[in-house]
Amino acid sequence: MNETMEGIMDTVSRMRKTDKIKLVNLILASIKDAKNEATGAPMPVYEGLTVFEEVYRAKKGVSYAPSGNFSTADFKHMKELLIKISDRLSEGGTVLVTDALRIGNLKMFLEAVCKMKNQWYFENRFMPYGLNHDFENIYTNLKNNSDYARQQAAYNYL
Amino acid sequence: MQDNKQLTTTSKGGAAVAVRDFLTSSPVALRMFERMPNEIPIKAIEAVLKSDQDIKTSAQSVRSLEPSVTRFASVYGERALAALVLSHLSLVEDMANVARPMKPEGMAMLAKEVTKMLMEEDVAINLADLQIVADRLVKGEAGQIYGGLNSQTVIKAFTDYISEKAGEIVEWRMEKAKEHGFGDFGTTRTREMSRLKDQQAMKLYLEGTLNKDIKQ
Repeated sequence: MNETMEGIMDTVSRMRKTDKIKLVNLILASIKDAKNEATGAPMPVYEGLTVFEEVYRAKKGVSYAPSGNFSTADFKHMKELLIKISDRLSEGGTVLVTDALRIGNLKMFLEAVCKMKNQWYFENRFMPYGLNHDFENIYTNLKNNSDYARQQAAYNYL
Repeated sequence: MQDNKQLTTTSKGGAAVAVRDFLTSSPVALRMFERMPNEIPIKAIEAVLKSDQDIKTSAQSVRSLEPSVTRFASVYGERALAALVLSHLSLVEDMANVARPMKPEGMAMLAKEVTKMLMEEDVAINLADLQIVADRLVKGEAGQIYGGLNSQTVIKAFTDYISEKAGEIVEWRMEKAKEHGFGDFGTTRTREMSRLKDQQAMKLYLEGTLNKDIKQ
């Protein structure tokens, strides 16, 4: 890393607009302290937002952040959402929680939310802020109403 | 969030994961192991794993040496047998991709009802027979599943199969009698003959009672 300031500026000036936006987002993600305070594990915040953007576009047909720039609040709440998912993943204590696992579960969670019958949610709270605040409720609801939970309940009744 | 498996971490340790890999050849055994990990003896799951999945008809089942469900229940408990039946039923429901799945209470009650029926039945039902009935339910040979699985369809599938197997037992006894050279079954003094008569009487009795049940 012996690049000079001029070299960096030169590289940035020759970048395409989408790459510049990506760079700004990455810098923002790092500024927003994308680490879990409790464990110190880094959180793939920008990656999570990218996945959210994909799911959002697939569900609603429009982009969540048309310009590609996410707000600082989005970074903050996505980080907290990923921490909550990581906590759930590490409940058993035997799973090695990796970034791929976090992102995979985030995607599954978002897709499960998309399949919910409550369409009001998509119009009003389907954003990192809402997902972060409603995670526990949605998770419990999905857990209790899924096929897996229903069949497990049948086994418990035996 | 497929079945919430990733978020709830079903594996309980290194050994459990190894057993899980080992059980993948039998979906029923795997399901029993996953859903009731500390409640069903591992020997019971092993017995389910070893039951022959190549047995596809009642004729093959009669001539096989599969352990009967009464023996399974006497060794491992009726709850293990109920869990086995429930595993079959839940897999049938998964494979049929029903629109209205049964409620957990109903499913558990149905599994218990079927278990009770199998335990009280005089015709010996073995572990392979459960698989045969489950296959018939999945394929629609035991009646179409409209919308969702229901107790009438399941119980009728089992009673039909029991009746069919009673007939097969008679056939098998006659076959054995012929092998031993008892001629045209004119005599009633041999053990084989008396067994054959018992089985034939049981078949007639079952046909009568089943038809009566259905008419009611």
